[in-house]
Amino acid sequence: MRLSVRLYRLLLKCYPATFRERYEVALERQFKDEYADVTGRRELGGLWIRTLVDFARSMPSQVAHEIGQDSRHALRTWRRSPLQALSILAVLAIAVGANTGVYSILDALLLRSLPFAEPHRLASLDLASVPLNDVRTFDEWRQQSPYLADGAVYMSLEGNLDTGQQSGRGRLTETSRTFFPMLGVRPIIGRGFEADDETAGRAPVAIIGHGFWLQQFGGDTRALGSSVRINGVPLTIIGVAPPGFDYPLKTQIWSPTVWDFVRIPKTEVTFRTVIGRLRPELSWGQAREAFEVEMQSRQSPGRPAMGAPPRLTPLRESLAGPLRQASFVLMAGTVLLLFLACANIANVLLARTLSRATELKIRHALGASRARLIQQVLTETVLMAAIAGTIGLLVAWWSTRLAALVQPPSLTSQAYEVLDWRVLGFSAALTLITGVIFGVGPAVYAVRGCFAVSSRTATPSTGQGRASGLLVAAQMTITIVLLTGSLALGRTFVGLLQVNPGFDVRPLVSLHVSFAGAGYEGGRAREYYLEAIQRMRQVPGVVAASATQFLPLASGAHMASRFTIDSTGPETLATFVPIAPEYFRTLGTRVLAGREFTPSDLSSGESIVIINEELARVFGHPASAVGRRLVDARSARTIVGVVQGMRDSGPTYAPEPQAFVPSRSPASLIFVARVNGTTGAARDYLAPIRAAVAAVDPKVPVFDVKTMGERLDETLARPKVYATSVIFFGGLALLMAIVGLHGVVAHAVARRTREMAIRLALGTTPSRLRSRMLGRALGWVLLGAIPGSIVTLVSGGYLRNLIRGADASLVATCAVVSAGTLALAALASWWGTHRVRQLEIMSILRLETGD
Amino acid sequence: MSRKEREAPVDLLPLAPAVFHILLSLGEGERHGYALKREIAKRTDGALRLGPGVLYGSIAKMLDQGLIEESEDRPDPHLDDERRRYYRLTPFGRKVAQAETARLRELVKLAAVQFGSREPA
Repeated sequence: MRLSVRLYRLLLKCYPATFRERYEVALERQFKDEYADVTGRRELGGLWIRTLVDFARSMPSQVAHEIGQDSRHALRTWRRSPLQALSILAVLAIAVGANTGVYSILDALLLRSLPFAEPHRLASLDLASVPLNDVRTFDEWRQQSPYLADGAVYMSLEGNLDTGQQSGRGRLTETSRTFFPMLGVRPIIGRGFEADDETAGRAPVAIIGHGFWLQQFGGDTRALGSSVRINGVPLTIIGVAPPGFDYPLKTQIWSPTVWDFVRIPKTEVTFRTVIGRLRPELSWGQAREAFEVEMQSRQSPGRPAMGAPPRLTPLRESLAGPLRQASFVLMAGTVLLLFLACANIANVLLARTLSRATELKIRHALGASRARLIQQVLTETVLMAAIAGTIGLLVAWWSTRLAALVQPPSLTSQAYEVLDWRVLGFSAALTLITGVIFGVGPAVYAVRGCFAVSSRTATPSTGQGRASGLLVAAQMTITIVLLTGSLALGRTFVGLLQVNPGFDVRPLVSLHVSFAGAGYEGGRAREYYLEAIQRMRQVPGVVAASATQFLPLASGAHMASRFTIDSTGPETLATFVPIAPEYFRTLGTRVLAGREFTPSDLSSGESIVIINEELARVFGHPASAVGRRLVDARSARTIVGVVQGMRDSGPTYAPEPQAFVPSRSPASLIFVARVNGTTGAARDYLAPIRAAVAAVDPKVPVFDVKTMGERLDETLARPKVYATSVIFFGGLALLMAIVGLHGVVAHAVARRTREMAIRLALGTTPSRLRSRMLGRALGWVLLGAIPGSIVTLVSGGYLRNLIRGADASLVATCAVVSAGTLALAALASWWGTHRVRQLEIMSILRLETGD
Repeated sequence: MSRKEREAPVDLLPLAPAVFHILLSLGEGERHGYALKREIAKRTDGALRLGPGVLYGSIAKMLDQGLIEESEDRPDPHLDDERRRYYRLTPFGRKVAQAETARLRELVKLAAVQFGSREPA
């Protein structure tokens, strides 16, 4: 008997408060009555089944009924102060939305399944760790690997794509034959690569992407056996990849030619990438150990290791790249913002709840229990959070669109989605937790307020003041962390805009051409580009034109070599850039010593080189480098000039040592033209300059036509978005903290009116009272500011994941932010106490004593 | 007078079976919850057995709608437990029950014309 009744009592706890209060006894009574009629085990089972069915039928409708009642009550309350309700909703929507947005990026990058079999066992390996001489050594290595079950190599490039009906640019990935089987991916039609396909000299075959198949062949199976041309080389289609598979880098065509470098002509610098699948019996830890042992055994004792030691990285991690760290930092920021919003709203609601004490007392007197009052307050806060969460989905959607612009995901299957069950689940859970977090404080105080000895002359408990004060302190901690971070990022970003990149940005226009498959070998390419430069110069308004193989801000990859001067001294690694005559004049880069290349240097065949000041400095004073010989493993060249250093990868990267040589037979080129700034913006020249280059030979595709300003904007887009979003968080945090502090102080004044009236009656001046209140408020502010500063200084290094070098000025920024916040807090508090001046002592005291 | 009482009886039709049976039982006099449950089960040959949740859920709703009210009168304490709550029909509740009866009567008439009034074999 006892057990059944006890269980039933537990079940009753699930009914909402009002219903429980009214009928708990009756329900239990009826259960006991029915229980008394039970004679055997069978009947007891029947009773419980009936009881559970009854519970399932009645409980949800009661909950819905009471939530409906409480929600209508909440809406009536909000209608009385719509501005407050709207501002709470806005703050919450931004905070929940920003969290959901950043989470959806993390979800896409780190949680969502990749289009491979068992993606968690796939690894990305450093090049240095794998023998990549030829197919035989690679096959031996992967078959004997103590930690890999299988491995594959690929090399991805953009090329000129010609399907017969259409030509343009497309992405090709050259792979080893093991690529598809290792990833666990099978073509949906046709066959995969076989050992024969890899043999050098055989007619190349290709597997095409599903999207490409639909687009170019309308999903027709007759695509198998037909061919596509890439960089002029025909590839026979033998298979179609499954939908959603576009690894790596949204590839459209895969060919098993990675070991046959010359088969498909390349115009850009490409890298091989090695991926592998861990042996099934090994954990990641064991595999890493085996990998490190292999690395140590391979390292040659004479030559010290360069750079970071090779690593075995989960493929998912390397796919996410730098965005992974950045997203974690942003997530930390948005979570802090959400906490801040919760603390702030809790404080506002706390103040409101206390001012509603009379209403709550009346409700209590009318029979509402503790549970009923808590339920009512929590329904209100969760309802508020739910509305904000729904609006927040829009904020989240908008932030993922922004993220996709700044840092597009590298695979289609990693697209940032808000309408994904995990993201929606996260948002719903966050909303519910948020509603409960900022509701619990007010709910508890609502109840305590009602159940305390009710007397209008009673002094409010110090506990309530302490709770408000602690919330203020917590807000200050978060505000200082967010604000310092945002100011540090802002300063760094403004600094980036002011950096001199070593070339002029505004008057430059640039465009790519690729000779692949267009029949330009050897000297013919030089004729082409000299002709193109000539035609560019003839465009009215163009003052200089030149070309290079690697333009700053436009090239992802470089060639590099180790140099010495006159074969003496230490070797220095420098990038190697073939350029056309007048390159530096066109870019506006200063020639510090010597001269730049002239057209006669192209035909003379003399081995000459221009170096930049970073390389020259390694060997002494820049001017003294001219006339000496720059030597690497393959050649020795006479230095004819030294130029100013250029920030090739954007303002966040310092200039690197560079060597420039005359471009005599390029496979691809980037043309650059300098326009007269007074006759119009560089953008106006894009079309005529493109037309001038395209007119030289329509068979040579011209693409990526952009002004240098646009390239710089692209480089700075990510820092800009990070800086802007974090500054937005910081600003919002400060605003919330100040408004919250003002509210708390004003509320404290309202609460202590009677006490202050007595003090004034006893002779204190209003200013002294205000100072006391100010001192107390600032005490709480300081209590929060100190841990805030410590957290900022300790964790500031993580800002580097958003913008390089962002943590450099952290200490000074933190000091400025703390001082500024303190001053603003003092102002807000002082303003919050202004009612003290208007206190009318006698009327208050008369009211309190009931005269 | 509650908000609901101002409504016309027909606004509440049709009634849920449980509600109509409760009205029917209270038509004979005051009852407490468990008595209602037993009487309804008996009247329907066990076809409608109201569990405590559904029973008191219906009662709460009917109180809210003004169909029934709690009774202050208690029978002889020797005969019953005074902690039990007793319910009785309100005049409004009686009107609603009558309206439902009329509605059902019309329905039965209509059905008889359509299908005949003989019991199935």
